[in-house]
Amino acid sequence: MKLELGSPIIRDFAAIKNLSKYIDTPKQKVSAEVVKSRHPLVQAFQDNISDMIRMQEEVLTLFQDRPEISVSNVVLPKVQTPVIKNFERKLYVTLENHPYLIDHSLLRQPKGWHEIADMEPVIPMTMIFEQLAEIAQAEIQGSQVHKIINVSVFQWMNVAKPFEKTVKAEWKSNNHAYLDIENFVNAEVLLTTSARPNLKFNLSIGDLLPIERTPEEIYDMHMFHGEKYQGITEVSKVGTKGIVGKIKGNGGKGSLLDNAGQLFGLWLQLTLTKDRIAFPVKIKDIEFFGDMHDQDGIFECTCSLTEMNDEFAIVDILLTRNGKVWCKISGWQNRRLEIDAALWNISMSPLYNRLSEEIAPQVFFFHQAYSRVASWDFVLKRYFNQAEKQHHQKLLPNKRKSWMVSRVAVKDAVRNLLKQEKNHPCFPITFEIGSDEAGKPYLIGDMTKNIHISLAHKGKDAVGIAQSGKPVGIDMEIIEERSSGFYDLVFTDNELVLLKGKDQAEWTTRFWVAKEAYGKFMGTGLKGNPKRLEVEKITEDSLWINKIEIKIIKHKNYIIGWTL
Amino acid sequence: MDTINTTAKLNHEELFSLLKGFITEVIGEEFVEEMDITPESSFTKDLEMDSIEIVSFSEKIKAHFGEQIDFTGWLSSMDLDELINLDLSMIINYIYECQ
Repeated sequence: MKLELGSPIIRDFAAIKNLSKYIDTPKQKVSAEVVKSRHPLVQAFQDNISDMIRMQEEVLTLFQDRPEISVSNVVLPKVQTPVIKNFERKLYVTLENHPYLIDHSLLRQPKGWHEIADMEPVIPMTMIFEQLAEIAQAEIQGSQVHKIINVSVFQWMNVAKPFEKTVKAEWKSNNHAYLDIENFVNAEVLLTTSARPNLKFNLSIGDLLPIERTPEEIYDMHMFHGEKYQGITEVSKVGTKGIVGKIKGNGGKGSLLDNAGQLFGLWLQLTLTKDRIAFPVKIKDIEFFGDMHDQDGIFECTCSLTEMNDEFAIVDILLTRNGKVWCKISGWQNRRLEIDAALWNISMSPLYNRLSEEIAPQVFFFHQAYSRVASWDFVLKRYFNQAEKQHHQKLLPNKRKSWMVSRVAVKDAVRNLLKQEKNHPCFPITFEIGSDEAGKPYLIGDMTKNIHISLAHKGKDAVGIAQSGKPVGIDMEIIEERSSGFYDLVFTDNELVLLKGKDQAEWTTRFWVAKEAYGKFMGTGLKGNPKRLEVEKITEDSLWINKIEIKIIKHKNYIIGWTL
Repeated sequence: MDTINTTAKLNHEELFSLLKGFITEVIGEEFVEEMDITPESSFTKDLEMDSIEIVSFSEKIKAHFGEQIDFTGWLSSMDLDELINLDLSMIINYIYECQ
């Protein structure tokens, strides 16, 4: 067959439109004998075949019922067909040429924090798709952006260092471009030169809920954004299926549509009970009824839920200004993250929140319940400075979690001490925990002079303690039966006498923990021989070694002990 | 003469694989896979064994060699620097000498 350039695109062939009529989709034509056999292999084979048939039918149905894309109907008299099919443009985004991006930082750090990398300023999805649209638009003089479709982002576009990338673009038709920044984002842009009709849409937000929020509350408790991206001016209605509010652009590129996304994000936070934090990853269709660049003024924004599962939440969004629809978005998809209230609170207001629980005065217990890597990463970024993060990266993978949980616990202990004793609440990132050759942890920082710390961890659990002026040691261990070999190696004859008649699993653990805590208090550890440090006496909740009192408590299935 | 001990005399290579097996039992196979255990592996720095793990390790040595090797006594004769730098080859040499 001769190649016919300039022929109609394939979906318009009548033959293809009728395709499904000619494809027979057999149903249940399996012989009764085979069905009867019930052999697992036959069963699996049949299941597979019926799956394939169903998929084939679905594809055909989708193909036949596909929505008529208005593109083919739009008349574009002035659009000149681009001469070259593919082109590339450089994209160079930095905090110098887009200074407002500092207000789109994912992490709140102290005012004037010296290390931009700790703040993670990222390009909003709405800014990048506007930039991609502009790149396409610049190729065709006099055109306007009609639609941006199939937007996907794959990872954060961090601008702590310049974000310098190549945008690869390809014309799919004379007004339809596909643009891609490898590994980060891709989208399709449809251009037009004709005016678009003013349509009316009705989005439902379900039954009204008695929830109110002021912009101050929103940017204090719910949204991480700084001034240039703070554009929610009013929450008008919160419903079971959506939200209505007033939004504006506030100076940052992409801030108007970012605020549409914020309103949706806010609704998720206000109405969900778990995994309430979500970030946009995909948008199916953004249609502009006016100039994409004309973003001045206050817009009424309605977000209406269309789909929700454990992983994703999807909405349609409508933006109207002075009663006229400016933009309609279908299929805005947020990925839900495993971020609970504790994580979000420490993120929104690090000064006054912590992740660990104070289980005794100055003793902080941290149970890391999060399973997804993203949640661990979330904690890592909020608690640790660059040096600590580099150290963490060098650890063996199996040691990273215990390193992190124990440092979180001890950082919370130190922060609590600074608040209580010096009335100095501080961010976890403002001081560092180092370890000496023997593995003994110590503090590095201006405010933490003369504060001693100790920590212990077991799996995903950890304890930390901080004390001014004198050394301290803490340990934790799971309560369990010990082998006779353990008794031989660990306990002295005097200790065996003290242990007699007691619950062995619990009390051998108490003794062990006391020895460890004392060893840490001395800064030497057990030196390979636990018998060197002898428990001399028991008084109520305490054990004594060399006249030092070690306070012992039971917490969950652990024994925790620390020197007083 | 103790017949068990004479037949049990192990060379350096055999001792290494025996001790490596003990370490695997103590810290778990899945963790050992992630690290490369060699005679130069240090207990605290490379293997990052904590005290209770070192006690379990000592238990295994004691159970295997019996009274002929006073492992904890030997450990406690060390100062802190020596303990920190303790590696597998030092233990192998010690056990080899004691056998």
